[in-house]
Amino acid sequence: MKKRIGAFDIVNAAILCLVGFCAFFPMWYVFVISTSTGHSYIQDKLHFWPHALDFSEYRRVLAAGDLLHSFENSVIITGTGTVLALLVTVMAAYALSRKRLRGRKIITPFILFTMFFSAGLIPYYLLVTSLHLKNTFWALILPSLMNVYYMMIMRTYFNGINDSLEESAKIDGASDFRILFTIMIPISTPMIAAIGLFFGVQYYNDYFNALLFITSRSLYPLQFLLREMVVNNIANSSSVGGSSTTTGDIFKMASVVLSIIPILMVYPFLQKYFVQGLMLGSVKE
Amino acid sequence: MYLMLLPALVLLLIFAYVPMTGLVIAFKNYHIGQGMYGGSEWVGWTHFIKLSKDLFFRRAFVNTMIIAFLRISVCLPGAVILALLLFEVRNRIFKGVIQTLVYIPRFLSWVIVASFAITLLNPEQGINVLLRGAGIPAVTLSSPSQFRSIVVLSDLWKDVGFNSVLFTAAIMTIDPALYESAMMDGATRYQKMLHITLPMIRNTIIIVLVLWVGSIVNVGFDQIFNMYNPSVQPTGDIIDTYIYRIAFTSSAQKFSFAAAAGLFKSAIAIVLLAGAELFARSIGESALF
Repeated sequence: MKKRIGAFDIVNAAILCLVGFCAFFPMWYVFVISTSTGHSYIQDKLHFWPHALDFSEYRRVLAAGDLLHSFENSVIITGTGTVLALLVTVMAAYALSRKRLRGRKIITPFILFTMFFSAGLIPYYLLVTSLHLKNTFWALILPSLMNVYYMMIMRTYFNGINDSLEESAKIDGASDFRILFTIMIPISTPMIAAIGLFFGVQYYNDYFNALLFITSRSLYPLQFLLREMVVNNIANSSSVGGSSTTTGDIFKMASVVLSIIPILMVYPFLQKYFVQGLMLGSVKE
Repeated sequence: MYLMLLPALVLLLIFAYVPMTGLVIAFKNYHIGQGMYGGSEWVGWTHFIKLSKDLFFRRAFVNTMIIAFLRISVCLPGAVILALLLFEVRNRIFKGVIQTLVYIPRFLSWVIVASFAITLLNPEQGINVLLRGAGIPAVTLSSPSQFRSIVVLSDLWKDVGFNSVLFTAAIMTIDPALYESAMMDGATRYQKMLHITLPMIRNTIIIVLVLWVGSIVNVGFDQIFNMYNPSVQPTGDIIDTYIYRIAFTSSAQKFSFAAAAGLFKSAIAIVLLAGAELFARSIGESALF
């Protein structure tokens, strides 16, 4: 079914090119500023084209150390959080997907209710505070370990897996844990990768729990540091650009670009899983 | 089996159910340092009555609704149109490039997107220099009349690709025979898009619409919180940002009052969700599961 390229294709491609350009432009713009020099920043106020391609502010960001240290914090939080969250979510999803689990009908509503009703910010804040989690990474990790929505998607996925697979393992005397880890998880990799990606992004991008519970600068995760620096305009004047606001702007944009790079590096490997995961999640029984 | 469920149940108990009991402070007068449940001084519905008379809360409520309405009426059609257009692309490489470009913003945090917005809308630089050259007034984050549009458009920028995936998935399930028979009848591709693809994903569109309406009061905090400033509060303050402000930035941390506002919000949320689900069931679908 080879067809000619008609007017329809051209209009369609033109619109999509425009959409793609709009998606790309802000990232490009920030990149251009981040590679400016103080001189070129003032010379060309449009920042549509990189004249200087000067990476000295990047060096200063890295030398200042704050950003790298916060990045390390974020990696620890994201790594620990994602692994634990997957474990909790997948185990619960598997248990709830098996008909032989007695009391499913009672337990499921108990879990689902938390999707509809939340106590809100204040009781949550008081709880985490009274658990003495303030200024620990656990305050950023524990509260989001159990995600009901992802658990439900995972459960639906497990529901669709044929019972006969595990029946034979059962006869061989395998325990539930063994079945989950040696049979169910290996054949569910795409779904688990997708949910892992969502957890990872959620932990990496979280700033709000840090805002509530972290006061010690050495524990700042990356997004919170960026928020303080760019959104709130608070920073150590020694690290951000010294006396000049111009180089301060360039310094900030270099920090923003540096914090996007890890996402851009991981993304291509995970894109296929995220699309699959979303599609599987949207297909209902 | 039960051992596998245990971590999840314990976590929910601690981080979802225990806070619910903590809502009692909405009916008390909480003072700082009193632990989770406050003192023994009960004040009944006082905070709720005060809330209903609070002009700033009313303003936040109205703003929440207006912004949500704008968001749905721009971002939902945007995602549907994007899915329709992407479906018509025949060149796989071109399609892949565009998809990658429009999906990426979803994975950036609102802190980063807000820093894009702050930078792009700098009154002295870039786009605003162009606008000034053309005699058009500047677009800035400190203008109350422009703030809502900026919120909606930046949300469109961040999420339109991600939202379109659902519709793309729905389009994939359409029977190709439909298109073939339409082609026999001499339908143009534009006609096929309008008269086959769009009607076939109607139910998906309705479900997404219903879900979005059901979560009106729960979205937008991260975005607005990172983009707003005192000068745009008249148009940009929503219930969630109002609660945060009352609790954490006013000099006397009014935890009880803020908790009452939070409880009120959760009550609206549950009514909206239940309504959404009932509506979805009435058209023979379930929006939630």
